[in-house]
Amino acid sequence: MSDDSDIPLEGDPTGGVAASEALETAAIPQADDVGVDASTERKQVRKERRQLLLRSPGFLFGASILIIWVLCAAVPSWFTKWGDNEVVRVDGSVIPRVGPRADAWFGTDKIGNDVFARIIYGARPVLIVAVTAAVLAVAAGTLLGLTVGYFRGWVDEIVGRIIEALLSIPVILLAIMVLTTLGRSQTVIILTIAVLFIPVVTRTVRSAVLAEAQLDYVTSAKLRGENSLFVMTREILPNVTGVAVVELTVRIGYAIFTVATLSFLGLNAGDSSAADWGRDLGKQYDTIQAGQWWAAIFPALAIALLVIGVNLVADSLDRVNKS
Amino acid sequence: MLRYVLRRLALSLITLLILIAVIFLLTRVFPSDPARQLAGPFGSQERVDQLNADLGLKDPMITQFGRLLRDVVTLDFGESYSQPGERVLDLIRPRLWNSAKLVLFALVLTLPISIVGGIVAARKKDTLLDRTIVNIGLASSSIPEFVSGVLLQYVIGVRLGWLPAVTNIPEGSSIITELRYLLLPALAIVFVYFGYIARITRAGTITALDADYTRTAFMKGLSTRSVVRKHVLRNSLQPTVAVTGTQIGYLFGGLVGLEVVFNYPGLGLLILNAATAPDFPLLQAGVITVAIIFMLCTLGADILIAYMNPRARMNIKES
Repeated sequence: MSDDSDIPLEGDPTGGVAASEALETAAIPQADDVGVDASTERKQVRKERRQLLLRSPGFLFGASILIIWVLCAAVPSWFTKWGDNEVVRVDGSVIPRVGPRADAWFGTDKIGNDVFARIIYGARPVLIVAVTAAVLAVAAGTLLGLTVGYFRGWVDEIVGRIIEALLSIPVILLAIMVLTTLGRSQTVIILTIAVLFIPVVTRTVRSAVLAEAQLDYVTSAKLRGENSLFVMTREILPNVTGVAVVELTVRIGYAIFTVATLSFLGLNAGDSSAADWGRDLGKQYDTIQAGQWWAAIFPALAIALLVIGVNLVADSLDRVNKS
Repeated sequence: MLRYVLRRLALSLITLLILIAVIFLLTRVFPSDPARQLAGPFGSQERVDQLNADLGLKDPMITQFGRLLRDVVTLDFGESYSQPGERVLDLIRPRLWNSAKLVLFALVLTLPISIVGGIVAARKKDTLLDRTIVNIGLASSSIPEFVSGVLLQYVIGVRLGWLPAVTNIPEGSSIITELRYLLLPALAIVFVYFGYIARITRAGTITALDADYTRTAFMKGLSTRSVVRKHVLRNSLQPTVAVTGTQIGYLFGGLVGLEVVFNYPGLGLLILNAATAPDFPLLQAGVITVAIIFMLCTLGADILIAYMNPRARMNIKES
């Protein structure tokens, strides 16, 4: 499809970062000579990139958002005295559906849980599922993209067609189909998202590998008589790592997006009363009509803030990677 | 050009075939017992056997797959499981129309502002205006569409009361009224796609502005206006066209969350309900419909690109 026009495109329904960058990743000039200088030069480049990152306001802002959410996920009890499932009691009585106030910053929901506490505790499930799924998808997709991009031939052709086919259905629809057939434990959800993200990662890595494979250092490695495995893993892989890292951050963003959508639709794992942003939003958004906005709007903002943080980091990494 | 279109169409058909196989695998091969689900937990074993025989659910998988292919070709998916007596196609048709209305409306709102935004950002590259457009785009397109849907629903629909907060459009309303109901969900889509399309257009325009042919055109002494119109746009908008093509396809089925928020009966909601029912004929037909629309949109986009850029017509062999 889109390959036909020579423009590698992002496959997801609502993509912020990837596509515009994918347009430019086709040929990444890399400083890489075979010789003594190679590793020192690479170190130098890495150091410069790190400095560039630390000076980028987008990166710093995105990274601080992420650090806060990761802390919430790791040690929620630092941030709130309430448990995620604990009904808030003031002087012994339950206070459901009260708006934001001093003793419940974000108000309480229908049941009487503290919305702030649920936001804090809700960071953990979404981060665990999204990050694990994205890591698996990028690992598998990089391996696959590296292989088909290096060997080309009929396997590449077939894999390409299958990828094309899978990318023509919104991820969320495929996820709904899989989860309603296979049930929905946390493992199934992670694996589903991982598998559904493999095609797009493969395509991105493949096009980066194609660009690398034409460069002189690959040719000379082949002339030296190195075997394919060596050329792929020791010569090409280090040079597409940057692309893979950017892809990982972008995928984490989409994975959060997907996890949140699935749990919003009620297709999530685990204890149905545990804190979960998507599910809380799904369960509480009808209260918006009654003017009780807090129980739905805060989880919505939490999802938005987390994805914005991830995408800011992804965007800055990509920019630095290309500079 | 005709050869290009035919080749491209053949590729699409292969892709569609693979996809139908994937959908079949997901809905039929994985362990599940539709007849038992249809008969209900207390249905007799005879009833289950009867259903299995009637629906051919115990036939060899390859026969069942053949039947699905026949259904796609004849566009007849039989009766729905969850709404007995209803033809699947009759259930899909109104939903398809609803999705089309929402998607088209959203596109009409999104495309002009994002293309203009992208071109302006590219021409003012690295200025404050450019950074603002890019960053607003990045932030707004990060937010899942149902999240921005809920936010808009609250602020504009409930708090300010400017627009209807759910899309329970009264029967027989005029087109204006209908658009009024669709405006909030459409705005949620604008939110997501403005940034995306503006960034693509910006990247395409920057590349085209830097290209040799643009420099040549300037050196020939052409005015900026005519350079941009005749040389830049034709090239810079190609990625935008490609992306719009793919995204229209996604919008037809991918807006499940948004359709839930606004209670809008589109294809996404139909597929969600068919999957949870489960109603396999409806589910298969729904997803295949989305796939076909996607193929048509990308095909249309590629043909448009081939028209804009003769080189793309040549490149098909390499891809």
